[in-house]
Amino acid sequence: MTHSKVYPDAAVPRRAQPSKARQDGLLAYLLMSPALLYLLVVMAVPFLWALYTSFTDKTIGAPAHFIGLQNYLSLLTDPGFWQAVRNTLLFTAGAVIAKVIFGMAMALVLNQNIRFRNFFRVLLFLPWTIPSIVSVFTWQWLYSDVGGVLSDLLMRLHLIESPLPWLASPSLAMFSVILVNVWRGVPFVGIAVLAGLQSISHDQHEAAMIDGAGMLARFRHITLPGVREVTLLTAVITTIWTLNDFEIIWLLTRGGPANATQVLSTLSYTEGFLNLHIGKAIAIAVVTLPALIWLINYVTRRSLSDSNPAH
Amino acid sequence: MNRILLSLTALTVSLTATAHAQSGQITFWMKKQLSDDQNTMIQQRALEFGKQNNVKVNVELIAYENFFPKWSAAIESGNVPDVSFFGYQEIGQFYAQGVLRDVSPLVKSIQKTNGLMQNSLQKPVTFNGGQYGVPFWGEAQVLYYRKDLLAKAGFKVPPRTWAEFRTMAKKLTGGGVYGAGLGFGKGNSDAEFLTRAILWSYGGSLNPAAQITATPNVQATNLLRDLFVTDKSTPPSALGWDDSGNNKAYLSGQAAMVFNSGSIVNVLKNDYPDLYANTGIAALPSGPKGNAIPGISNYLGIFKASKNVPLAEKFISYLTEKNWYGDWIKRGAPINIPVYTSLASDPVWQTPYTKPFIDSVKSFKFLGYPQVYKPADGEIYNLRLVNDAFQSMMSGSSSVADGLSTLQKKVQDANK
Repeated sequence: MTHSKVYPDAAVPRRAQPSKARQDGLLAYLLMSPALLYLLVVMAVPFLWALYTSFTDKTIGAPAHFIGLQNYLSLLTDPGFWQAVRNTLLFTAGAVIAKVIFGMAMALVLNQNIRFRNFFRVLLFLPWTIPSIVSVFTWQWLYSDVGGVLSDLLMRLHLIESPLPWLASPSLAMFSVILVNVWRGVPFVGIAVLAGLQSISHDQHEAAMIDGAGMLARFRHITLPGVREVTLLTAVITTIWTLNDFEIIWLLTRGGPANATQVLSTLSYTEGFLNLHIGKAIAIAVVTLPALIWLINYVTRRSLSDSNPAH
Repeated sequence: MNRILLSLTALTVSLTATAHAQSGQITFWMKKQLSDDQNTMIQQRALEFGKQNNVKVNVELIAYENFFPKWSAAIESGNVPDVSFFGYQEIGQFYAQGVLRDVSPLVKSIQKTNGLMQNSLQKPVTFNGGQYGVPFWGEAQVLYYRKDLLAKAGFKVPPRTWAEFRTMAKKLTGGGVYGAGLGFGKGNSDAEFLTRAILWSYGGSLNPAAQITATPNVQATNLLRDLFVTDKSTPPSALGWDDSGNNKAYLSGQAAMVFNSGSIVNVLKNDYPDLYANTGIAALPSGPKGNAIPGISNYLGIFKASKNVPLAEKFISYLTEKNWYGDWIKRGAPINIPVYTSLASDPVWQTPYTKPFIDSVKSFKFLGYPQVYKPADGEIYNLRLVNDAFQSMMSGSSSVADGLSTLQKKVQDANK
């Protein structure tokens, strides 16, 4: 039996320790360097460059001149910007709340032992798999007042007398774009919550039933605490995606009518690519960064801290 | 996020374009046409040019809405296509940025070989004596009307004035049919042009900006507001229509009168023969100050940063060679209007379905009218400031006075 090659740290000869530590450190840096290089080239440099550009008067094709906070100050006095901020908050809050509620409901139903459960699971997750462009054009047709299903259905039910201007009325358009975002986003929440539900032991439910707990009591005291973490995490991730959503609004309304659905992402695109004012467009995007960084930080802390034993 | 995407695209474009410069290739960005025949012809023509000049011509057919991100990335990276399509409003914007080449000598040489081009199409891309785009085709908006429905309502001829248009639209509305298929979606380019046409015909305009709230604009806006709000002669979803909205409304029988470029004619002819027979086409109605037709013109241009300028010029000359061009333009008639004056007399333009288009070219009025078109007018158009204001007024969100006042402020800001 030989123990000579297995030294506890304290037993390593004193002179060999720094050299080995240095070698380990170098090796660690070497192994990390591709990832660091990638982060530097793909993330850090463009981000810092973009941040700098937001402090310039950069337009497409013209050199940038440093103008300090002028882009940000002009945004603060622009009513269009504030309308976009309000719309962004409304769009995000409305869509996320609806996605969490319907996603939870969907997961609860699909967790039951119903017939054709797998078929329904596939069916309900389908919206998530369809490309945005296809689903947006389909919704455009659903909303149409010529052969559009939604208005036709409501008219047949005698709920309305004439087709509704789903995307043409400032008061309805925001609801309409939120509906499409919710339709697309519910499956993601549903999948995540369903995974959480499946980790809850049946024994807990059975024990509670024996103790006389009703359906609502079991939901409140067993199901909800069991999926609380995953729901919270999913809601935050969905919030990040919804804050950044561009395609649905751009393809359905372009921010109209009368800027009723203009959000920060569409305003930034308009300013940058149609108006060629890249500096101002980036300033608009940068405004959302503190909220996004806070949310991303929350997600990474929440999802990584417990699972990584090194911390 | 957009910036990152832009940078990556720029990098890709940069690498691709560098490779092209080294291997005797040129790149041509062309707007994708509705006619497949025309798209194929462009590709074949490029292939022939390549063979004759021992170079490879890469043709990219691009949907209009995708051009801006591509142009932006190309300009920023310095690796631009050698020849590109532009609308006149973009020529103005890019001229202001100083990124386009003056192609006056090329236009002169093309005209010397092939004959004169429509003067009206050259004006909006001429700045300080230089011309920054070679006219390639024009487009015009006309009035499409249902002859059968008009006759049934007791009208023998289409509306000649905007006041008549309102009266007729009101009478034609009913039973699921709307008299006026006017769309005002935020991205709708037809609406941006048509609204100006109505303002101009009332003696109004967006220039000078300080007079946007003046009486002629108020009168024209009131007419539109009456159509939408008072008479309800427009379909309920019209305020959200994109450029295809009026096409769909007319083809589905929802609208009795619409304004559009030539795109409806070809669809009618091929797919709706009965409706085609019942369709009449006329010039836009007049206002108290006459008739104003908004010009829509398209060009080929060369960026200053192009690495193959002589080849690019040669390629443009090749594409505008009159015989081939005449054949190409005919396949797109009446959407694409020829730029050579001599081609206007071709029999294809002498039918009731095509003549109103070719007749429009001479009296084209451009963004910025009654003043000369300037880059800021292109910016106002691209931002759809007019659509924004009119959506707001037509939906009842703001009064005509408030809506025009807001528009005036925004136009003044854009002109600063």
